[in-house]
Amino acid sequence: MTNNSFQIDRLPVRTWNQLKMNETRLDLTAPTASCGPEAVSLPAGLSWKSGGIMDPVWSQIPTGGGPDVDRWLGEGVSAALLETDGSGSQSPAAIRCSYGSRADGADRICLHAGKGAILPAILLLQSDADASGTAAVQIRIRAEEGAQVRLYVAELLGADVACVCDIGGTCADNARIELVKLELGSGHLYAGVQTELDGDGSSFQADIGCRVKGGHTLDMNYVARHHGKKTRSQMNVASILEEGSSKLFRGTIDFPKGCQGAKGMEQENVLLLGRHQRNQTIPLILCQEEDVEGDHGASIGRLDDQVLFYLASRGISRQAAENMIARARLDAVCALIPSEEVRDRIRRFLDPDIDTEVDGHEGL
Amino acid sequence: MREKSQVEEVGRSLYDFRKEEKDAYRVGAGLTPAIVEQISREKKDPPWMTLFRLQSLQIYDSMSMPDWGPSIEGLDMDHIVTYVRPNTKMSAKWSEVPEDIKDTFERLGIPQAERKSLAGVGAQYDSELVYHNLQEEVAAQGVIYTDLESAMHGPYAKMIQSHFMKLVPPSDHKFAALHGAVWSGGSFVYVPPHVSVTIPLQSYFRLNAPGAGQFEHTLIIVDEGADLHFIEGCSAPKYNVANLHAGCVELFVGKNAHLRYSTIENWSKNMYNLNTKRALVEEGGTMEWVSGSFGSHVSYLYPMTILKGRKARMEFTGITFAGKGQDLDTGAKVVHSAPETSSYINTKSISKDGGASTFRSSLVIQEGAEHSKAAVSCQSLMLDDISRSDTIPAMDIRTGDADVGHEARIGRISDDAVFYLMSRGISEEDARAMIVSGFADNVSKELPLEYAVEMNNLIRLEMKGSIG
Repeated sequence: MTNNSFQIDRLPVRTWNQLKMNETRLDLTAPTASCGPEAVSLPAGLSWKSGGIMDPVWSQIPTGGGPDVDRWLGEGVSAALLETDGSGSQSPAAIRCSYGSRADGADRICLHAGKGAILPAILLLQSDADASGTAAVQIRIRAEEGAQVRLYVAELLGADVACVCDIGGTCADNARIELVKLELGSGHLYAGVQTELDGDGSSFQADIGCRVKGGHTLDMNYVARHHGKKTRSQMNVASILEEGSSKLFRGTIDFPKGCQGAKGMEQENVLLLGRHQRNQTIPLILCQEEDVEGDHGASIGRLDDQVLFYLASRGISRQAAENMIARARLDAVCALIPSEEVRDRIRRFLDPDIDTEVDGHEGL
Repeated sequence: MREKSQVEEVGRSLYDFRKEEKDAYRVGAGLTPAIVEQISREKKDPPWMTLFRLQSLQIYDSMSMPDWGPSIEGLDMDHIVTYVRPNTKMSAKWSEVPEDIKDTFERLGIPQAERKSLAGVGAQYDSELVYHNLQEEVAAQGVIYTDLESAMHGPYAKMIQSHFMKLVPPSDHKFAALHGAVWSGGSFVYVPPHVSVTIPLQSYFRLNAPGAGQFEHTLIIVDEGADLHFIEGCSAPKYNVANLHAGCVELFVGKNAHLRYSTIENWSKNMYNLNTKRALVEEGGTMEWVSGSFGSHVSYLYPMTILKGRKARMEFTGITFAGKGQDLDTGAKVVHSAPETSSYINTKSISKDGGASTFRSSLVIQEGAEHSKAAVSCQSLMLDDISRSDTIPAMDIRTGDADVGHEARIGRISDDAVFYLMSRGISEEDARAMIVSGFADNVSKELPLEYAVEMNNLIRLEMKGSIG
């Protein structure tokens, strides 16, 4: 274990330093051991190799966390590779990163979808509820021509676990990366995602749901870079901020020269549930091309008084109404995960008191 | 493949004419304590101001250049002359202004505008005001509109000392410190309680000297329940050497008062425009900014509003037009410090011919500002594929009881709209100019008619070119 200070989640273009949004400086001890990611369910058409070191060619794919994360983790971190055989699979592989009670662990996972193949994968990050430590996982995705990678990440770590979840992806012609992510447990979560839409007609969609509890911080940096022509990106973020929480969302759509016909859109909806919390949002559009369309929007606030009044008139208290609406927003993201068992795990994580059972399971 | 129209740069003879510097007094180039003291002596500063200037210079020397905006590497302070005084005194009659300077302002239409639609005018040439006048009936209401230096030695001396660079302290950023050290010229306006100035006042700033800086300071105090519209215009001829504008505007809007501050900025394209504008709004007060940025080589311009009192509100309406050789970084900042405050930022930007425009904003709602509402909207138009347009809006919400909306859009002129207009007999060039003028409509409709016409002329000037 070595002490390390490093920058993470750096904005592609800087703004006023006093806002403290340009990047985040962390002082975290880098874990050296692997948590031992397991492919607990592996459908035909997908293969899994673990325990090696990442091929340097993968490090050419930039990640949302930035190059400092690579330096922080070092080269010797255990890496796993999930890739398609032939046309891949419609059913998802299920990968579990389980940190137990002592959460220190660092891992790299590479996802490779061959030409025209489909690679769906569910990644569950879990620990004991009272665990503490640092969980670091870096994911790199390569989608070859016409391929699709669908990655579903559920972060269900303990509140005392600091988590660095750093993702980078690249798409060849007509390839697509879909990312569904629920960030629900870690008390200090740093999440970077960067997608290079290199190929013409390639696309990226992200649907993110976050719940930030009192005393917790969430730091995000999402970047979609449109290099190819007629590329598409869409980023939807639903955030729930509870009393005493803090969240920073950076979202960038980048249209460099040459990406004619590209379209990018990002939307963030933030529901403020307490009276004292901090929400920082900085959505960027960078444009060097004429023939593009870029949109971003943000809505930040409490529940509308009319909605509260309507629900109160039906006997639902403010607290219950807020919980109901917050859950509905997270459930909308959760519903995109193609596993009833994982959805059920998430529901139980959000509300430990509920008693649900699901027939059958995928080993998660 | 779709054929593209080429929009070319044309002459700007309306603004781009120069006069010889005749018998003007100028300090040496660069920035030293000796130069600052020399300016202070020339200005006959009171002792506190001399000390203030020297302290500002120390702060300037200790601060680094901004690392987040457009490049200002071409600005070499060792070659900037910070004080150039024309060989004349300030007058309240155009007939007493030297012929060449009067001709400059006549070509810019200032005396004509004064006769038609203004309650008062201040005209600054290089570092000093050469003309200042206020209608008698407005003066009779107790309104003060004068140059800042005179005011500093008159009955409002204490008021100026207690407000000067209190909103924008020299430690705010490097160019605020520079301003504190070498400021010269500018206006002081005081509107007494419950006085409504129904016709606008205007200050016009002309920088004629090559390689010079202009550092005027505008201080406006609109007292409780009063109302004012202040218009600021600026231009300069183009030279092959860099010029610098680092002015400062401080606006104090009293309880239930209203201030509209309109700017049409048309500096020449060798100008580094590093201007700072800030307003403090008390309970129930309203601050409105209307801003058109057309000139300059590089601009850093973000008028800031601090909503200090309950139910204070601000509205910012702006347009930026970046053409060849321009890198215009503009936007607005607002801080909600009190409950039930509201703000609305609405901007448009246009990039063409290799120009770069950046919309940059900062919205902060502080912890005690419950029930505050804010909206930020920015739209950008790209007119070709050699230009650049970025939007960088930051929001920092520190209370749970706020309502914030934000939207931004970047795109180009719709082919369908151009085709529709051309099918009605309008040329492609005119069709595109009409669409751009319509895009800028939110700003022009907020300006008095004469200034809206000037702004539309500027857009037409920028859009005029050949179709190929």
